[in-house]
Amino acid sequence: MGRPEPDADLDRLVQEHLPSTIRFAIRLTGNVEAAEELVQEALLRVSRGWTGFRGEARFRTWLFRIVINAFHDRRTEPRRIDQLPPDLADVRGANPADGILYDELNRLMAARVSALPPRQREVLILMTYEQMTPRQVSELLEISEANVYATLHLARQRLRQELAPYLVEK
Amino acid sequence: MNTPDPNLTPSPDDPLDQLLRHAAWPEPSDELVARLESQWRTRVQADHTRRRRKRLAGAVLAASVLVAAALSVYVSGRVGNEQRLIIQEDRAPVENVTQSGPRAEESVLPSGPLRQQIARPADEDTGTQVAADAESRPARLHEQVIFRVLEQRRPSRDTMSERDTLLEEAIAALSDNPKAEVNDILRPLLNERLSYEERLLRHLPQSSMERRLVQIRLLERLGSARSVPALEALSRHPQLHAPAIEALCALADPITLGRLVTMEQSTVLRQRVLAALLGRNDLQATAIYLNFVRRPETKPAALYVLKVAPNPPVDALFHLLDSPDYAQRMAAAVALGRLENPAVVERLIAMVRHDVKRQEALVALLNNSGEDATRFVGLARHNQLLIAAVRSAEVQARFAIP
Repeated sequence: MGRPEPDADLDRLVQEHLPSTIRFAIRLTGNVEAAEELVQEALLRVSRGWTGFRGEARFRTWLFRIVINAFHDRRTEPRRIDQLPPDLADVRGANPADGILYDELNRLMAARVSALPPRQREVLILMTYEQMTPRQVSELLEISEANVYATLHLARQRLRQELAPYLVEK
Repeated sequence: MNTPDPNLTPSPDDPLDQLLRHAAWPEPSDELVARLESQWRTRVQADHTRRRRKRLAGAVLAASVLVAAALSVYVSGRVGNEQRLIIQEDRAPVENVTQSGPRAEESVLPSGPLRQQIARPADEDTGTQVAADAESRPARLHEQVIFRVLEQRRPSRDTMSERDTLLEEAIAALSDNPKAEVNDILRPLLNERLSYEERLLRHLPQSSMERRLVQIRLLERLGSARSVPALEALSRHPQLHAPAIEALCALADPITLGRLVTMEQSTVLRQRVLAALLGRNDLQATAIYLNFVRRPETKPAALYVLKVAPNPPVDALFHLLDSPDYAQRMAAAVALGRLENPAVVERLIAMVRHDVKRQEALVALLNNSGEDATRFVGLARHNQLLIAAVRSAEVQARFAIP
């Protein structure tokens, strides 16, 4: 895609990608309020840094990079506490999946993804929910493809261990 | 036949992928989307108006300068041309010319009807008249315009690129107040890191020592791997060593960080670089960090840094329990054991129970001084199924990593 004209095209592109950007921010932060602030900050940077968009990257990739940079810069994220959440039962106990409602499990899953360490979270969300290839993720996050694979592996392994009681083969 | 790694290859039959597919985050409300759209439009409109006003102001200023220059050139040029024309046409000697003063010329005013038009107003006290110099060629109109514009042009914000200006402002702000919040100062520069990094690297060689200190701080936040060679070179200077190391902690790759740990003389800075390795939270950096756990001379510092790390690379350490390198496995086990983290102990106990890397997990638990780990190991020693494994782990814990 060549470099679009400023103002009118920028406005159109932002409007087009705003809903998906908000959803991406919600997955990154885990809650709507923080996501709104993150997107506000990102849009401010878009309006100021428009001249920095060179056109060789897709607009969505460029916009997501700005969101991720803003996410890193905020540093208001509560420190991740590396403990199992209380709503996950003891793995040594009886079948902990009994009694949990389907919706609760889906929300729990989302919360665990949003609680992953930042880099693992970004890689998992981009590849699983934004359907990006490892190459696209490596370009967006400015890391090697090997690092993308390794990080994805760690993220999935971690989720697998933490949610072991709920991973029932169908 | 190679089976695909379940942690790399999604599969519809994999329960984890089934859960991931159905993970449910809160949906953004229509009001939220509308609010952000409205804020965006307001900002775009404001930016558009500001840019239009700026362009208009610039155009008005340029037009004013050109008009003023053209007028002055026209007036002075007209007088000069008329003088030359008259002198060429009328070469009769001038009557009653009084010459005095430092600027009187030898040439004379022509006589005739045009004399009054071109003669400057006489000084009534002295009766002096200054004649025009008829010998030099007056500049042509377009040359005069250029000269006038160049004379009146002032160095302004417009002559420097806006980026250079922002960068200079950031440097000045940090120089004036070294304790200022760097993030606030850098906010206008964050969108174009590569561009500012390039400028900083270009200016570094000719900067003063004080200025370099500030530039290094900025590179720490704005820079990338590209800045690493310059920062390594700067770190050899005693005055710049510490700030350059700080910046390298943020930017250098794990291999470079490992080299810096080996070369570093200062205990504090060595710990700082070890902390940076841990903070990367990836496999390569953690594996390099574990080299320093393995060496007796660096083990205490490495484990101290691990103990105080705010976000230790737990996942990477667990992954390295599976390393083909025995010493690395043991180093990972020792490091995991030294973490005062109930969730880590929980996982290790589960690994022992389910015979997943049991030896390594036991070595880790033997290195943990917490109550849960101590109690579990005590029980395991009296368990017929585990007693042999515990004894083997005790030997490994004692001798594998001295």
